[in-house]
Amino acid sequence: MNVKPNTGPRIAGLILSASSAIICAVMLMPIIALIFESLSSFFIPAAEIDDTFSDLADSVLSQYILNSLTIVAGTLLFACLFAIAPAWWCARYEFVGRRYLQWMMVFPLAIPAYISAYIYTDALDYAGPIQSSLRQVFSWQSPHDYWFIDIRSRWGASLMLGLALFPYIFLLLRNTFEQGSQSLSQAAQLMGASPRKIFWTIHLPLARPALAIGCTLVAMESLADYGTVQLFAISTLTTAIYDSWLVYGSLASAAKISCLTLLFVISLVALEKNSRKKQQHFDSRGGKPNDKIKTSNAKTSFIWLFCGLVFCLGFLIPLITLIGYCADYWLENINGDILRHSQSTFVLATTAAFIATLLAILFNSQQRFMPGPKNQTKLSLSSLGYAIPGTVLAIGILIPLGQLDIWINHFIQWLGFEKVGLIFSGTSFALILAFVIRFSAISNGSIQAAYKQMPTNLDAASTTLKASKFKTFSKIHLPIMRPALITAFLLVFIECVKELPASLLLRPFDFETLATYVYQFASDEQLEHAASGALLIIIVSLLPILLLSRTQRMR
Amino acid sequence: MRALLLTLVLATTSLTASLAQAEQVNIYSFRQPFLIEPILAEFTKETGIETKVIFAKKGLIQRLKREGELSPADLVLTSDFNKLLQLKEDGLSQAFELSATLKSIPSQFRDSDNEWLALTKRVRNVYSSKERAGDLSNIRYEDLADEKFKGRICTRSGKHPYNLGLVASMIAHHGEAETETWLTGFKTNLARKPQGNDRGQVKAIKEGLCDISLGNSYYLGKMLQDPKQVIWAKAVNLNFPNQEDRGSHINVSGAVIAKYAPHKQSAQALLEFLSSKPAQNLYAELNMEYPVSIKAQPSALVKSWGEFKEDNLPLEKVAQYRKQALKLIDKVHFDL
Repeated sequence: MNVKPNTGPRIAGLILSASSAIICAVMLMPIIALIFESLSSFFIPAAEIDDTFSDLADSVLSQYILNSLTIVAGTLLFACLFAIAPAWWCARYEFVGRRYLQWMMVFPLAIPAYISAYIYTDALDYAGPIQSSLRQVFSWQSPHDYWFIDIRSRWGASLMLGLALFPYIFLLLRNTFEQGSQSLSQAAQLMGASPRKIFWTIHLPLARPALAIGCTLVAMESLADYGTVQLFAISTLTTAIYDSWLVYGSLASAAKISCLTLLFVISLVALEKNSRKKQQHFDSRGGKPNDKIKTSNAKTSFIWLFCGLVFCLGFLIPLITLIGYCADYWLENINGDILRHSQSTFVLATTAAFIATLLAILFNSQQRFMPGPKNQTKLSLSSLGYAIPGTVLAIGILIPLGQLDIWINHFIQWLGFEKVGLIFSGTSFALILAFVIRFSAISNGSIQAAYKQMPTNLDAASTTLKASKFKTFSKIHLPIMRPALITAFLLVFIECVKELPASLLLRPFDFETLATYVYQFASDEQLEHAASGALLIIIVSLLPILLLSRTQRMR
Repeated sequence: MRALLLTLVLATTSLTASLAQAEQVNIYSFRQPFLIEPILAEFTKETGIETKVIFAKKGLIQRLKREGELSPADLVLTSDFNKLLQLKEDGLSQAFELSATLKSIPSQFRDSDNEWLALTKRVRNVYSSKERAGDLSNIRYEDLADEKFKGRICTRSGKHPYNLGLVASMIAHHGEAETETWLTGFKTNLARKPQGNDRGQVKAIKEGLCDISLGNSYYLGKMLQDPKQVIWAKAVNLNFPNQEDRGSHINVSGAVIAKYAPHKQSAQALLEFLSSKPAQNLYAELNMEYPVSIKAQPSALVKSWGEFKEDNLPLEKVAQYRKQALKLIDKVHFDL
């Protein structure tokens, strides 16, 4: 068969690949700017030698690295514990209330980790209500009289981050398990494998790409976290970045440590990818969707007990506490501005989530149609922003945007007009850019997981039928990806609503997001006075989840 | 023709009037907006100048640097003296006019080049348990390393600006080596790893976890106003350290006019207002801070805590040790 070369699509392809390269460059801009800044000290001799890095390395850096690693490992452990089993149950079993449970497990995403951390440290502290009443009941006098968990410890922080982040893994795995192959497990069953063995040897390995993506997201987020670990009084690598930059005033050493963490993330991801390089698996879904197995009463109650506990810890207890705060400090919490702040937060988050999802489609479909190291690099690089702490990313954005603004203003003045001010770095543009750069990893991740599940022979069949790439994409990929697209949009949206450090630094005058509004109180440990704002964050984040659970009838 | 001219004149005047209405001052603030909003509202009422605030605890100086000559910032409000000095050192401030009002602020609380100005004073006090600590009115910061306090002290992070300022002042008075020994002793006396904020330490004293803590004085006033925290406040005494020798360590909140302030006149006006007697009294009444202006008075409650001697070492002398202070805190693993 003679296929005519068609020039139209080729040009379109070129334009697409060029534009994705440009977008990728823009997304890397902050990192490049930071590296450039840190290297500039080599070329411009400073008045005094900057020995911040070596000082830190001599004193505390090793301890910080250890803390960071422990927290990442601990968070991953907790997140997997909370996510894997429930995802499996929701995807494979039919039990009373499953439809509700599978959305309830996503609810903890709506609570920012710094808020639940605040609530839990407050409650479980020595001076908190729980230990105080225990002391009263048993008439203990001092901390030496009894043992109680120390919440402000590495495991406490890991637990809190795990509770806040596990829904990523849950969502990705649930989609994967649901679409997982029925025929394979039936074959295994026929050969007499126990359900447990089928799970460990077939389904979990099949879900490994999704699990890896989820774990990478969780690891990056916990590595870049500052607010939560600070509440837990734990110094991590992020602490070192902030100290060396903001107190020692050494951008160079801050950039060095940032690069160190980036290197860690990159090598972790590479290691994982490398270890499953030879595995390629697509399930050729044998026609019918998998049937859910009905569970026994005992199992149903166990499932509800486990998931209910996680739900309570991750969502219900913080929510009730916040409502309690709201009632206690009612007067402080009535505030007309709050509605305005929620509106601006909503608009901002929607815009950023929309852009991030579009970009994720662009990068992932390119890698799908033209697999190769070049497109893979673009995809990986565009996800890097997630591993940078928010404040550092914000400054990384301000460096190039501020320079751009200065050039534009000079140019406009040269033309003889009034200067226009900071049109990029001083407007919502900078904030949206920050959100997109930081959270693209999330949208990339969920769409990547969807593509990993989609057999390539679908594409081959479509090409055989002479369908153009665009048609293959729009008629085959998009419909299959729909749940993943919605998940991507939703996750980025929620993250944007909760985002704090970059919003604090990049927001224009007279512009507050709910998170920055709440923070001015929380930073003074007076969250009680802004509980209504915190509740609104939760409501704004929950809205899309609730809407989805109603409209998108998940099987 | 005349009608036309008249309209033109009218149009011009109304335009300038609307411009005058749009007069504003942009503030980069390290202090929480809710602490300064009542005072800013008073300023707007009096002058008609609108105030716009961006608040962040970290990175505002970096933002200011990056924005360069295009920065919209007119005034920067800080909550400690290290940042005031840093703003000047980094060339991000400009001189204000030393008017009569500003002269009412004692010279040790304003820059010799008029580039920064303190607005309120806060003392680094020692809180002590009424029940268990006994009379500590003669306590010195140096005593925090004394063995008799082993396992009895609580504090927030050593790297918090307030503690950093204190450590820097110790270096200024005793030198680095002696301060390191002191800090090591202080660290071994801690009842728990540094955590929480100044109020949290008072709460811990109330609950019996420790007997003494470091904290700024205005927190006591704030806690007494809070229905839930009043019992914490009632469990402690407020002590002014080093009364027998150099006096208690003072930190200040303050302001600078940004180098490229687009509304310099308004910024100057706000600076004048903030250091005027009524605003200084508002600071005293609302936030329980000590006013810097000699014309204003602390609130009745704050006055009831008594007169005290201040450490008069110039703030510049203390601020120059802030990096050494942080290095020492890291070196002795104070926060770990």
